[in-house]
Amino acid sequence: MTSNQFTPSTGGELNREFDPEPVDEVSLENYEGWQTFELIPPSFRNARDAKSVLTAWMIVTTFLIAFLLGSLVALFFRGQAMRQRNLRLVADATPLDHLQKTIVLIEQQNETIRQWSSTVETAKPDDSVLQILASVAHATHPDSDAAPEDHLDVQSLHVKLALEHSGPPNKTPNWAQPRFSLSALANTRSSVTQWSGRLSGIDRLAELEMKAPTSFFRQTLVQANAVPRATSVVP
Amino acid sequence: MMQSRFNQLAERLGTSTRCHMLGAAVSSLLVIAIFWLWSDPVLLVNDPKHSPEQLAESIRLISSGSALRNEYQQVMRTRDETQVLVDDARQWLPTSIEWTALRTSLQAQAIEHGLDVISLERGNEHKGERVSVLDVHCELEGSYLEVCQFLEALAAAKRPMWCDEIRLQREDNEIRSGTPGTTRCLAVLSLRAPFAGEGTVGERLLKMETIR
Repeated sequence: MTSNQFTPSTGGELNREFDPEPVDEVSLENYEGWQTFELIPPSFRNARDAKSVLTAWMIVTTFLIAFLLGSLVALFFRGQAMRQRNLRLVADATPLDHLQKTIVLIEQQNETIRQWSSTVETAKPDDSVLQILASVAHATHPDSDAAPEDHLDVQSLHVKLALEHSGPPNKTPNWAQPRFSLSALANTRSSVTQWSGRLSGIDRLAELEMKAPTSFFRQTLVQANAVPRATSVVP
Repeated sequence: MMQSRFNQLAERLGTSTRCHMLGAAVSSLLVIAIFWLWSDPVLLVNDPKHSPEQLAESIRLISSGSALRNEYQQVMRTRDETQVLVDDARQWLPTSIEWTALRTSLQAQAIEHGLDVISLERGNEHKGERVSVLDVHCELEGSYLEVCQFLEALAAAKRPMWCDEIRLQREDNEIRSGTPGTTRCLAVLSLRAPFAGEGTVGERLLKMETIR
């Protein structure tokens, strides 16, 4: 038995030895930190802490990786959907693009045809010479019941219309220049004057020149020169 | 396996501070990656085959589809009108001229109008900008009225001809006070028969192939 062991004694000793003395109330809280007291080595404790911290970061990292992968997948599918949509868009627009180009081509062709047609139409033969002849005939013989002395007797008539040429417009070659000449026999000066006035009124004749004596009493040859005007230049 | 590797990593790092550093670094990288991905998703959400201009043009075309179809109908109506112009030109402008047929036709017309054909000669061909022409020299005898009727018929024919020059000469010098136009005269005519010669606008017009 050790000295620390409790030995029972008689009643008097007992009362003397264990005389009740006031003691502070004992509480475990007075021994702060005893609960955390560990016997494990620091390296092991550090490893344990590291493990728990690492676990926490692993959770965060896993979440972030999952979010990143999810984003990658979402964006990939979004891109694929966009490419598919663009393909459909372009495919749908292709016939319309072709239509638009066709419209532009047809419009250009229509315009070209219109221009060419109007150009070619100016080369279509007309009755310009006949119109000049008719106008001159009407001016020369306006009234079939005219007095015999006022009658004009046309001897010759020459009408030449302007011809198309490749030179500059102000340098028309001789063969392409328009000409008009008319010779008639007149009996009186007054008939020539009236005739000249009527010829001057013809729209299809320009720059009219009359060659006649200033006065005459017998039948005289009178000549009229002018520049005939055609509807268009003869090709 | 995973657990043992995890434990190895934890043991290797040793302290929680190091773990914090590693975790923060990795997380930061991931956060940066996610931010970069969403702020500029062009890397994954792009279409290298189609440019934005091409797509914008496609959208514009699709949105204006009905307008384009109406426009097409309109230009086709205009095409029909211009085609009429080409057909009209084809009616009077031959692609070539056969002299024998032309001479026969002229002779027939002159005789039909009571004119005597003194001579009828083929001249040269001239190439103009608009059309080519074949020169015809013609001497006729008849009344002024008949010559005028012949000229009228030339201009009104299915294949009309130009008369670019005419010389009228009285046959006699007798003064007549009768009806004008009945006097016989000699008419020397220079005629020009147009055709769509090579290199002329007329040829290009007649040979034009229309788009449908």
